[in-house]
Formats: sequence, structure tokens, C-alpha cells
Amino acid sequence: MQALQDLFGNVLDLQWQQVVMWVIGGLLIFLAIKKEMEPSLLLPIGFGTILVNLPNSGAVTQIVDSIAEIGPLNVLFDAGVANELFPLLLFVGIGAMIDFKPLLSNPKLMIFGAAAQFGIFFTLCLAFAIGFDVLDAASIAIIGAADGPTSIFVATSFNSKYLGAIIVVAYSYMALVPIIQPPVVKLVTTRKERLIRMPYAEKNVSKITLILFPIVITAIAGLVAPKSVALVGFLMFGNLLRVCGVLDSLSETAQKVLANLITLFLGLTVASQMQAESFLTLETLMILGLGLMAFIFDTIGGVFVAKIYNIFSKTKINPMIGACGISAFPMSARVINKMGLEEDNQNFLLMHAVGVNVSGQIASVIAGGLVMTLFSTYLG
Amino acid sequence: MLFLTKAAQAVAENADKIPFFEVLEKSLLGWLGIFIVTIVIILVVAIMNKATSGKN
Repeated sequence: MQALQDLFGNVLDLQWQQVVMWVIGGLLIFLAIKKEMEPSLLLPIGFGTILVNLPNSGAVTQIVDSIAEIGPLNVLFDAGVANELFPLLLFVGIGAMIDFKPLLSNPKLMIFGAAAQFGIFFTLCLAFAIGFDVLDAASIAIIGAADGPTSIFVATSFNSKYLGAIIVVAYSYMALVPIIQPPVVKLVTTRKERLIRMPYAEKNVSKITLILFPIVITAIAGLVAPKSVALVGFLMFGNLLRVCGVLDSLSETAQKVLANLITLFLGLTVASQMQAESFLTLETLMILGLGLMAFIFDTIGGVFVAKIYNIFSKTKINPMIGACGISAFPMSARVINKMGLEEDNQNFLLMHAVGVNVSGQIASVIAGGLVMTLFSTYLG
Repeated sequence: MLFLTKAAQAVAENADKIPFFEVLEKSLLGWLGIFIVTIVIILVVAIMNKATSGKN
């Protein structure tokens, strides 16, 4: 009898909340595989969610007879997420993947990248107003950066207890940009505005500019917001590897091996925050809603600044490209290009949209740094 | 209803800790800060493009 108890007793420890988390984990895996929504993150997070929600799971730290049995996911979490290392290393890979030429050939597009970070600050105020602690509000608001590593970096720096929910929501909404953005863009633009054509004339960008750009960006962002140096610096270091022309093997390693390796670790490790008792709360539902608000108001902010630009500029721009200022690259650029072609099948907005989308990557990282600079005074 | 009650309670509690307007002010400053940094970057890039045009 005792042997049976020892063998199957764990099953009796199963709670219904853990079963709900299995369903959530299964849903994330389904979305990753069947719908191909951010599979590189959602699949490991989904599987990890199931791992950590098995009763007395050995994958996470358990206290047995007052002794802590350290789980491997907690080891990984402490090694790479708690100290913000994994998102920074991932940024090296992301930086190596980015081509800044469309932006550098028309640098004023960067203004829309800045504009489309509006949702972060709007959501921060909203989250604080509805009762979240100011640091949690800032961590939740960074979902609006539409950038996974930045979200993880800021939420970890602020010791947010909602890290798991924030990351799942951030990556889910990034994958849902083709569903979220079009109705919002149509709501805040007129058909006449959506029909504005933007012919593209390729301008040459010198190699010197391509090389100086990441160095200059790091210096400027670092001087203004020193807490952004790690985020911006690692991103720009990756880009420098790409453009310098003498480190092709390192650039390729960063883009492929490093990025894939870190993504693998990150997904599983983040899942250690997806235990039922911390995820199945009213606050998680609120974070879902707030994350959506962040994306919506990012889109509105970018489009509105584009409309204001048109008031003062002789050369009109299609205000839809303002919506590309969120960091969901290249999804947002493709969405806006498709919307432009739906209105006028001769209006190719892609290169302008890509330029704005790429500027959103920089702006979102600077936004993360500024949020950390402005709100770290509230850290205990 | 429960949600609204909880939210109102939380706002009242928060009001004692950090003023909402302080958070609003910092948020506006943050958004403005991105614009300022962006404008500086645009100017620097424009200067770099002009200085290096024709070179490679």
C-alpha cells in the first residue's frame, strides 16, 4: 500500500489550476505550430508551462523537508534572465540581422519610430491608474515596445512579479500585429489619406555612414539615458558586426547560432515564471487588456504624428506608415504595405514602411532605457 | 462590479503613495525624451550622409 502511495501519491497533489495551465501551454504550442505565431518563443514557453505545472515538478525548485531542491529552469533563470544576460545576448543577434539602409537613406522617418512609442507611456499611466504598482505598471507598459528582449530586460530590472504574463502577452501581440493594426489604422485615417502615394527613390548610403551609425547611436542614447547603454549597445554591437565587412563569420554566428541558442534557453527559462499560482490571477487578465491598449495606442500615436507632419510638409506622406513605428519587424511593414496595395495596387509603401519599422527598433530600445532611467528612483 | 470596486480601491491606495501626476509627468517626459534623442540622431545622420556622399 505504501509503495502504491509513493508511486502514485503525486497524482493526488494535482490541482485544477495546474490543469488550466496545461491547457494554456497546449494553446501556446498550437499557436506556434498550427498558426506559426512566433514559434521560436511560444513553443518553448508552451512546453515549459506544462513542465512547471506538473505537481512537485523537478524542473523548478521545490522545498522538500525544508531543503530546497534546485530545479534546472531556476538555474537557467538565475544564470541568464534574472541578471538580464539572455535578452542582451539576443540583441547582439537581432542587431546583426537589421539592415538600416532604408532608414539611413531617409532618416527623418525616425520621427515616426519615436511617435509609435506613445502606447508605452499611455499604458504606463493607465496601468498605474487602475492600481498596479508603478514599477509593475512600467514593466507592463513596455509590452508596447513590441520587443521581447526589451520587455524582459525592463521587467527583470524592476523585479516585476508579472514577468511570465508580460512576456507571453508581448510575444503573442507581436504575432497578432496583422490582426490588431489594420482596424486601428482604418479607424484613424481617411480613405483619401490611405491613397497617398509615396514613390521610392533609392539613395546611396555610404559604408562609412553604415559603420558610424551604430557607434553614434550608442553614444547619443547612452549620454541621454545611461540605463539604455546595455540595451542599445548590444543591439548596435550586433549591427556593427554586420556592417564592418571584416567579421562575416561572427555576424553569421550572431544572427543564427547565438540568436537561436539564446531563444531556446529564453523560452524554456521564462516558462519557470508560468506557474499556476502566479499566472492565473485577475492581474494576468488585466495585463492582457493593457498590452492590447499599448499596441493600439502605439499605432494611433505613429499615425497621428504622420498626420501632423502632413499639415506642415509640402510633400505628403501616407500616414499609415506611422503605424510601422512599432518594433514588430518586419510584420508591421508588411501589414501596412499590404493595406496600401489594397487601397491602390500601384502604391508600394514597403521601403518607406521598412525604414519606419527599423527606426521603431531603435526607438523602442531607447524608450526602454528612458523608462528605466525615469522610474528606477522608485526601486526600494 | 468586483473589478471596478477593486480598481477604485487600488486608485485610492495608490493615491497615498505616488501622485498620479508625478507618473504622468514622467511619462510625458519619457515620450518627449525619445523625440529629442531621435531629432539629434536624425541631424547627426543627415550630417554623416552629407559628409560621406560620394565616398564608400
